[in-house]
Formats: sequence, structure tokens, C-alpha cells
Amino acid sequence: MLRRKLSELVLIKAIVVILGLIILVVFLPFVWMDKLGLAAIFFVACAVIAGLMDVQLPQGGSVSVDGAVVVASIALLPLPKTLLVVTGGTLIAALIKRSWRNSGGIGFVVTSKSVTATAATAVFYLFRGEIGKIDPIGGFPALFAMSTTYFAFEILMDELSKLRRRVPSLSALASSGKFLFPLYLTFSSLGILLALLYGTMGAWSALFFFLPLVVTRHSFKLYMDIRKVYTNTIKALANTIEAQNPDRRGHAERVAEIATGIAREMGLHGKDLELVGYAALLHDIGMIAVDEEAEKSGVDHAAIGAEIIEKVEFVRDASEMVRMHHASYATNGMTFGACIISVASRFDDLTNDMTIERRLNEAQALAKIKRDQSILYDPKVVRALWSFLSKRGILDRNWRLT
Amino acid sequence: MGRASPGFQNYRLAVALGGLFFLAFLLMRWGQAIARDWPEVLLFAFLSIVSESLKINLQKSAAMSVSFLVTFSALLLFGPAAAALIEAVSVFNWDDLRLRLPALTMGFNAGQLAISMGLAGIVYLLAGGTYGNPSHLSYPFALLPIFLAAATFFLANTFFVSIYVGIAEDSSPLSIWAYQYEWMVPNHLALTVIGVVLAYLYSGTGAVGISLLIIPLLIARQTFQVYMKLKNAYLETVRSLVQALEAKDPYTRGHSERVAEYAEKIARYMKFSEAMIEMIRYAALLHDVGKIGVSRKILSKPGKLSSDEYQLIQEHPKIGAQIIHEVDFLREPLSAVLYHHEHVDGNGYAFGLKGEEIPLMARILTVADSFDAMTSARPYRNAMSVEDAYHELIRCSGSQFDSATVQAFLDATDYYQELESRKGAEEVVTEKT
Repeated sequence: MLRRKLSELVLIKAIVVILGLIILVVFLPFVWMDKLGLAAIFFVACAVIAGLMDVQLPQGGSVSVDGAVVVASIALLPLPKTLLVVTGGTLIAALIKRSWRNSGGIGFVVTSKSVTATAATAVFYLFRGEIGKIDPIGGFPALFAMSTTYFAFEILMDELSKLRRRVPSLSALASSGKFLFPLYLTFSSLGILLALLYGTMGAWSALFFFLPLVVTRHSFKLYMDIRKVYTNTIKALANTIEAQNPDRRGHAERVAEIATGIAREMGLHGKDLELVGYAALLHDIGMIAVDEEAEKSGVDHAAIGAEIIEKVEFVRDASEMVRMHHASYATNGMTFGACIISVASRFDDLTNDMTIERRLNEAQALAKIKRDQSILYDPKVVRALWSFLSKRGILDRNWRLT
Repeated sequence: MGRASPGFQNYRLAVALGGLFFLAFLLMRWGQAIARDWPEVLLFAFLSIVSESLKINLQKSAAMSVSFLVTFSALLLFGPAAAALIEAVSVFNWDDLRLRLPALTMGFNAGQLAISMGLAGIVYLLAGGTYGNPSHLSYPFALLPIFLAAATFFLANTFFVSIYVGIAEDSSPLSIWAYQYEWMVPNHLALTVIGVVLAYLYSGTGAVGISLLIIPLLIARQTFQVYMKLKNAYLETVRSLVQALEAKDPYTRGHSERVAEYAEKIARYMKFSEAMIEMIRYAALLHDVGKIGVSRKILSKPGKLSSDEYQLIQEHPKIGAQIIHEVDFLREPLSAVLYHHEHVDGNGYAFGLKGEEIPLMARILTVADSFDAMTSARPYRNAMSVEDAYHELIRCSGSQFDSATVQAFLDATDYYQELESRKGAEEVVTEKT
């Protein structure tokens, strides 16, 4: 199962690269055909500047801003010139940023962007758009269809390049598309605006293009940064548990890693995935208030932890997962979110036991958890843990969950 | 703005009526442009209402909106009367209607906006500006009227609003202006530039062109709004987390909160900037976060601690700093948390710093922390009276505490007042005996 998916992804990537290369080889030689040299230089320069304005996303990866320039170039310049803008912009920006080391990555970016630009150009023709003749009202459907195609392809290619092992699911694509929609709408509007203005204003149109682009990027970046501050604060406060109990150092962060891995295997994404991460980081926060003696006399750290979390708006929705993280599978009201935390925490306890003699390796720990499934744990969650571990290469491929 | 004083009523009414008359004058003098280009004026009025509906509410009464750039480009295209009219109708925006502002306040807003924009328009024309086709403007000479008009609007607008807030909150309008509006000048300048750009774009490409520019700007505003909301909620988040962590220990419950209150009073008295006061608040809320890490048994132990246990407690500023160091946003409070147990004579822990080596924020925190520690009970002793705590601060000022900070604390809190009233009370008592 795993092997098949892996090769599927490699195959898709290879097709994209080959397709991109073919497009470049066929069209780039025609780049000298017409007399739009100055315009091409202008658009390459814009693409380079935009290429330097990438927005880093907290969950990894980045959004490239140069799509807006490429959209304008598709509307104004013949395909070979657009391909020049795409390749030139990407390569020069990479050169300036010194991100050469990942040359395989750059190769994929250049070829996939060429494919994207070609597809968008095809759609533009399909809607009877005329290159170089932009009519603000009558030509709008073609411009709109073209830019939508471009950004839909870009999201797809971006997801492809991020993943190493899995083919992106449609729902994952939809969720990242939804999250980034305002940003892409901005790029789309500004791209069309640039195409509209370049004809009358020439290079001055860059002013109208970059001013709003910088403003948008700035507020988006502020937003991303403050989200990171929140996440780090939650992490920092989760560390207070460990300061009290040094034996558990790293427990919360390891559980968060395993739990989000399991959740991803189970198809969670976006906000739900984030919540599982917070719940995992904070699952033992109740320990702050309860020491071992109190726990023996019946004070429940999970309930107290849930109480603490309920008071904090940002993570409130994670409180049920924390409350139930020691309950067994059959308990009333047990959600699979809570079960994920429970399994992940148990797994880390087994593999990082303070007494070295009692410590189990990953396979033994999984087998032990597996024995208790359907009494203590949801079998679906255990299965997801197994597939997470095998994909990580932590478990031997031949090891079977029997 | 709970009870409306007659002065407040009169002020709002006067501005609303003044605005109405002024608008009538503008319409008679420059109204022909509206009659000619009414569909376009309507479009701009619509855009102005839309962007005003998406404004971002900042603290207290200030709000930032992009509608100024719409009306400013209307000034360049259609003249003062249309711009003032568009500015006045922007009060019928979704954001204000939803809040069900009183009619008089709406009237005040419409009035002050119309007056401000109308004055800006007159200044623009007097300084030699022309309206109609912006591509006829000759640079750089056209910059002067543009700049003067934008400045006039800003000054008039903030003038009316500062007085409004000043009467409503019974404080000096000038300090309100300095506190709330001074920093908005660059933002306003940027909006002016975009407004000019918008006018150009409109004369060149019409409605499609300006929509393509306004969509991204509105999206940027929207994102910025979510950012502001998260940023403002951050203090609440930290506060509730710390509260929740403290809640289980009866001896520390509410401690950080109170320390934050005292520290803020001192900082305010020392005339710290709002941004620094915010950072001090964070430092105070988080100063004992490292103590949560020290085993609970030691903390709630009555009687003397062993030297090992004492050493462990002395680690708590370091542990606290360690905990928050990952959060970029809390860089500034970090050193205050790290040094909040240092004494100015060098006898504190955890580093034994002296005098000026200790950051001012940490010295403030020490005074606030000690005062609250003294006035609340501990497992090993009862709470001290407020009066004794004040005396203890004064006694140790210069050795344990920074004397300037202690002085600020005494001035900022009601110490002297209390002293006076106590004296008064004593005198009354003596008279009776």
C-alpha cells in the first residue's frame, strides 16, 4: 500500500518535470520572435522582486507572490516570453536568496511553474482572450478564468512539492486553498490590474502593483507571526510541567509530534489538526496543580487540566481531549481526538520510560498498545499510529500489524 | 459615555447642525459637478460606505478605515462638495448601524466629517489645486495643495473627535490627541498617496480598475483586523493561563495580577510609553512562571527551608526566563523576569547584580512584587498591614529596592493620601478623647 503510493507520487512529479521540460524546449527558442523585449525585461524584473517577497507559512512551506506578475504577463505577452518571465524570475530570485543548495527543488519549481503558465494560457485562449489586447469589461471573463486556472494549478503544484511520501488528498487541497483564498484573490486582482495598466502607463504601473502587494503581504505576515507567538506561548507554558518534573522532559513535545502524526493519518487537517497539537502539548498541564500524592487520593489531573484550558480562549476547544485523555475507549463521550492523545502519550511513556530496563523499542510498544486496543484504545487510532510509524521509517517495513 | 451631560449634547448638536449648513453652502457653490457626474459620485459613495464598514476598531475610540482614500480621490475628481457629501454619507455604514449608535452621535459624525472634508477641499482649491481630470495636474506643483488638503482633513477630523472624547471622558483633548492620533500621521499620509493613485486610476480605467485596487486593499485590512484581534487577545490569553496555573495554590492566587497592577501604576507614573507599559504588564504576569516549576512541596512548606530547598527556589527567575525565552514577542519582559529578585546593593539572587546593572523594568517589578508578597499571607507568616508594608519599602529603599522606584510607587499609589487621611482620623480621635 505504502510502496504503491510512494511511486505514484514520484510518477506524478516526474510527469510534471518532463512536461515542463518539453514545454520549455519547444517554446523558449521562440522568445526572440517579436519586439516585446523591453516589456519582457520589465516583467522579469517584477517577477524577481515578487519572488523575493515569499510569505513563510507557520505549518511549513511558503506562498510565492510572483504568480501575480505571471498572470499579467500571460495576458500581455506571447507564451515564450511568459516562460522567460517564469524561469528568469524564479532562477534570479533563487540566486539572490542563495537557495541554490536545493537544486532538485528549484528544478521542480521551474518546470511546474512552466506547466502552470502554459495551462493558464490555454484557458485564456479557450475563453477567447486576446494576448496584448486587454479590454477591461469585455475581456474580463477570459482574464478571470485564466488567473483562476493559474492559481488552482499553483496550489496543486505547491502541495505536490511539499509532500514527500503521500499524494495530496482533495480535502487537504481544498483546506489550504480556503485558507489562502484571500491571498490568491489579491494576487489575481493585482495581476489583472498590472496587465490593464501596463498598456497605458508602461513601467509606472509597477507602482500601482507593488504598493498594494506590499501592504497585503505585510499584514499577512503580521498575522502569521502573531499566530506563531501564540503557538510558542502554549509550548512555553507546557514546559512548566517539565520544569516541575524533570523526568518528563520533552514528553509534551514528543506526544504532540506523535499525536499530530496520527491525526494526519486519520485525515484531520487545518484547525482540527492544530487543536490535536495543542491538546497534546497541554494534556498534562493539570499536573501543575496536582502532585503524585494528591493524584493517589483521587484528584484527577486530566479534569483539572481541562478546567485550566477551558479558561483560555485560544485553546478552549482542546479541553475535551485533555479531559478524556486517560479514559478508556468504551467510556461514554470518548472522542477519537482524546483517544489520539491517549495512545500517543502511552506510546511515549513506553518508549521513554525513565528506567532503562523497562524501556521498550517502538515495535514492542506498538505491540503492547495493540494488545489493549478495543478495550482501552480505538483500533482505528492504533492503526493510524502504525502507519505513521512505518511511513516515518521508524518501524521496519516488513513488520506487520497483525 | 453612559450619562450624557448637557455640554456633551450641545456639542454634538452644534457640530451636526454646523455640518449641515456647511454642506449646504458647499453644494450651492460647487454642486454642479455632482449634478453632472451623479452616477460616478454614487459609485464613490458606495465604495466609501463599503470601506467604512470594514474599518478596524483600535483601542478606545479611534478607528482606522480606508474610506479616506476613496473620498480623497473623489475630491480630486469631483470637487469639495461631492467629497464632503460622500464623507457624510459614510456614517451609514454597516459597522456603525450594527452598533445602533444614537442618532445624535451619527449626526455629529456626519457633521464633523463633512466639515473636515469640506475645509480640506477649500484649502485644496485656495492652494491652487484643480479638480476634474487628475492627469492635468502638473507636478511637483500639485503636491502642495494635495498635501495641505490631507493635513487639513486630518487636523480638523482629529480636532473634533478629541474634543468629543475629551468631553465624554472628562479629560484634556490635547493629551487624547497626542496619545491616540499622533502615531496615525504616517498611516494617513500613505492613504493620501493611495487616494491620489486611485483618482488617476479612475480617470484611466474606470470602475474595473479601482475595484481591482480596492479588493486587495480591503483584503489586507481584513487580515490586519484579524491580526489586531489576536494581538489584543494575547494579553487575555497570557493572563488567563497564568491565572489558571496559579489558581490551585491559595497562597499565590491572583498574585501576578496584582503585581501587574502595581507595576503598571509605577510605570505610568514614570511616564513610560504605552508599548513599554504593555511589556511591563507581561513581565509582571509572567514573573513567577518559573516558580510553578519548583516543587509544590517546597513552596507550601511552613517554617524554615533547608539550604538545598532555598537554592532551588532561587533558581526560579532563571527557570521562568527559560520558559518564556522561546516567545519572540516576550523578549523585552524576559530580562525583567530574569532579574526580578536582584537587590540594588547586590545582595539579591540569582546573579547578584547591583544598582544600574539591573534593568529598570526589573527594579519596578521587584518593588511591585515585594509589596504584594508582604501584604498577602504566606504559609510561614501572616499578611503584613498595608501601612507596615509601605514602611518596609521605605526602610529598604536604597538597599533592597531602587529608591527612585520606591518613590514613584509611593507617589503613584495612594500612600500619601492615606497618610493624610490617617492623620486626619487620628486628629479626630484625639479631639474626641
